[in-house]
Amino acid sequence: MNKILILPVLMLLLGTPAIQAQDSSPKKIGLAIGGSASTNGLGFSVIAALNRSIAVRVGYESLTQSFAEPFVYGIEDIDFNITPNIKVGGITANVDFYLLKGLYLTGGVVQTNFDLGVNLIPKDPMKIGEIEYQPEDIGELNVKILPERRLSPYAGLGFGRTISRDKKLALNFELGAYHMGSYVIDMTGTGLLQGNSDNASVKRINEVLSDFSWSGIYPVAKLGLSFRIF
Amino acid sequence: MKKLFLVVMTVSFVILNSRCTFTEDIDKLTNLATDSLSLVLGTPVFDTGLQLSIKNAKTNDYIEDAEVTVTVSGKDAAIVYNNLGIKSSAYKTKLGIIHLILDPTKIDSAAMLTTPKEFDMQISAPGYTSVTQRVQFESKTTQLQTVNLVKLNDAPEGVVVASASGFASSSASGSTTTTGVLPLNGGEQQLKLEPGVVLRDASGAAVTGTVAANVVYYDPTANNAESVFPGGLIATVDFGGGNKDVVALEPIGMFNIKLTAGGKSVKTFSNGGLTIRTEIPDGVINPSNEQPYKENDKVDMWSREEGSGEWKFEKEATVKNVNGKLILEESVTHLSDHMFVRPFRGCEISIYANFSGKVSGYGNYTSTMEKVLFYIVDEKGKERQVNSNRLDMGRDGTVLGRSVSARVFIRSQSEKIKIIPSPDNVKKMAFSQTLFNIPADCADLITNNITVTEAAVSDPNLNINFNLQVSSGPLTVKPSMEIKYRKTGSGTTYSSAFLTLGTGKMSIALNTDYDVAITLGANQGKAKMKIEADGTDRYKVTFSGLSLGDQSSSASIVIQAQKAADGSINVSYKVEVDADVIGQLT
Repeated sequence: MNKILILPVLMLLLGTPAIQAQDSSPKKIGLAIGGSASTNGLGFSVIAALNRSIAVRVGYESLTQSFAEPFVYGIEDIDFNITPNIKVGGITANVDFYLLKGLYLTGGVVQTNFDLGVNLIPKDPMKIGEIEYQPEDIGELNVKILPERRLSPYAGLGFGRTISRDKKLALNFELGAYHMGSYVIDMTGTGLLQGNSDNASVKRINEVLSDFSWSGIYPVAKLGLSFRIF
Repeated sequence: MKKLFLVVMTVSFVILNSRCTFTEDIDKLTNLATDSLSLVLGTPVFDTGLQLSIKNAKTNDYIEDAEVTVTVSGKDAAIVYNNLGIKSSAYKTKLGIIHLILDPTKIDSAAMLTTPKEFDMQISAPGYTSVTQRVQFESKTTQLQTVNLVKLNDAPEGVVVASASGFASSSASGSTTTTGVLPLNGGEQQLKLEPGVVLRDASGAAVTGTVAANVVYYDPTANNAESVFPGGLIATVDFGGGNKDVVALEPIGMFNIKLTAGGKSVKTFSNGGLTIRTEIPDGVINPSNEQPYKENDKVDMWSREEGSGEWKFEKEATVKNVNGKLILEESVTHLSDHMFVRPFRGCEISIYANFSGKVSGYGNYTSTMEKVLFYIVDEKGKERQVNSNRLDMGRDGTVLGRSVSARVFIRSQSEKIKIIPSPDNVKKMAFSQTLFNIPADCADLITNNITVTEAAVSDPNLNINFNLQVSSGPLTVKPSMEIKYRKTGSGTTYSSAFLTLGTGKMSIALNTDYDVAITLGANQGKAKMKIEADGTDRYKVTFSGLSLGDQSSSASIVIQAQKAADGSINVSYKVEVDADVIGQLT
């Protein structure tokens, strides 16, 4: 965890005035608006260039996807219709530090909307005793993978520019990751499956998950385009 | 270049100090999910059913010295199951407790208002009288009913049991060849069978041989008449021509007669009948004129249908004066329960009690365990419980705004309706109003808002929070069930702790023996439970004398439990069972 935090903190440190002072270009300040497509969804951002080496980006990204056609999975002789739901994205605030004209490091924070879930509804009527219950009478299960913390540090390496130095348009490609502490599995149920809301086995899995070094890391690959206003 | 060097060095440091465990972690996670991830399934909470207590009419305690059999028949018998959702041709108990439910997928609140669900019960036990009774549901409710059976060799006050092994004789044609006379109660009641009467069983076959008679007579003037009278003194009666009503009965006397010969039971008579005679006890009031009975007054004779327990009008008898005694005497041509009575119609009304308010929260679950009890209070202040229903509460303790309904029979306008929280509720509740007048003209009672608050009571008892689970492999069942409990030797009615999804509360005294009983489908279990303090912050919970069905164990189960911050005790018990046991639960 500490290792992961080093990079964004370092990025912010690199953005201090002392280091910025090395850039003596006459065109320092600039403002751009941009759009992006990434593993964190589609988004828009406002980019402010503080000088030729430092830019600050604030934006919002979102990806929400539901699947109309469920697939079937059996758990203990009960077939469930499983419908995944994906929600990623969030508000981002990053500082881009240019190592070269078209290569930059970026770091910041994300207030993530991360929420990967599956909804499980019994596929068929089910007999309890000799009484047959319809799926809606049995209830449903919702299993989610949530972040341990929603405000997460982010670090990445980018190619191109998030705001152009001399032209109106700029293109960038960025690889990075944010770290949400750990993945946390949350299981809730309704009806006869309501008892899964405090399922002890889920608690055990979460304990194990929290020990994994990679748990809570969400990789980001992003393609961005920006338009410099001034 | 200086910046680039600094960053490259930092990234290199991070990478070199990282160890990639992703693959093995995934394996570990997969194994954990496969081996440990369990699916928790609750058993249904049945909101419509019957909690039947079968008691000895004399001791008023549950019948445990004979196996009670309850058979179900009638219009909606097909949707009656035990509390595991399993149907049986005969539901049996050695604890005097039967829990029947109606298939929740086959009942509809709106439809029940116009077409009630109903079934008939035949309740019998060796050495006891039998009772037939109809159960009717006009709303989703769990009815609490107690049926008292008379132990033939230990009858209570007001019940006379007489038998004659050689009451009469009949020929091969079923025709009696002797006169049978069986006096009861010092001759105040009498059965008489004249020669030449032909005896037949239910199939129409002749009953031949030496006829044995067993008669139970219920004295309406006895103090305990209401509690021992089979089926109670409020019953559905058939006036004929499809005209049925719930009425109050004030019988002059009731006979339950059984004649047997050659292994057959007499059902009908031809070429005459069986004569039943009873004296009218002094002071019995004729409800039609509120005066004591006198000669030439008219009194109905009613008989009870086998199966339904419904009383059917047979004939009108005339009061005779014989040697200064007022008597009723009639001949019957079939055998069942026979009663001389003047039924009077009260009215049956619906109560819609509207609740709001809040108590402390229930944690993870909405509560379906709280109950509202409905009583009728008569003119003399005597109370009788007539119904109960569920009061649903949200997780945060808020009343889930609905009207709680019940159907009750009212004998007179001057009675009142009392609505109180069940003392067995998880939360000790208080209602802002508990006593209600009966609306004029038998209109339904729709109450004003009744505010529910949590009563601040100092309860010397210890609250036990149960968390029960039954597991087999990755499947865990959290049962919704009822635990009945009472102090050992108290002879009182069991209190109930309702568990929803395995959790529920019970309030008991420390260092006291309790009888605990559970009903899970065809299996009934019983144990003794005692909780003792074990130091200052722990309790020892001991279950002993365990029995389930025909199996019993002399071994005790001892559970050590930590005292919770609020002084209560959390008892968590997880039973690992074979898959076939889970199969019975689900």
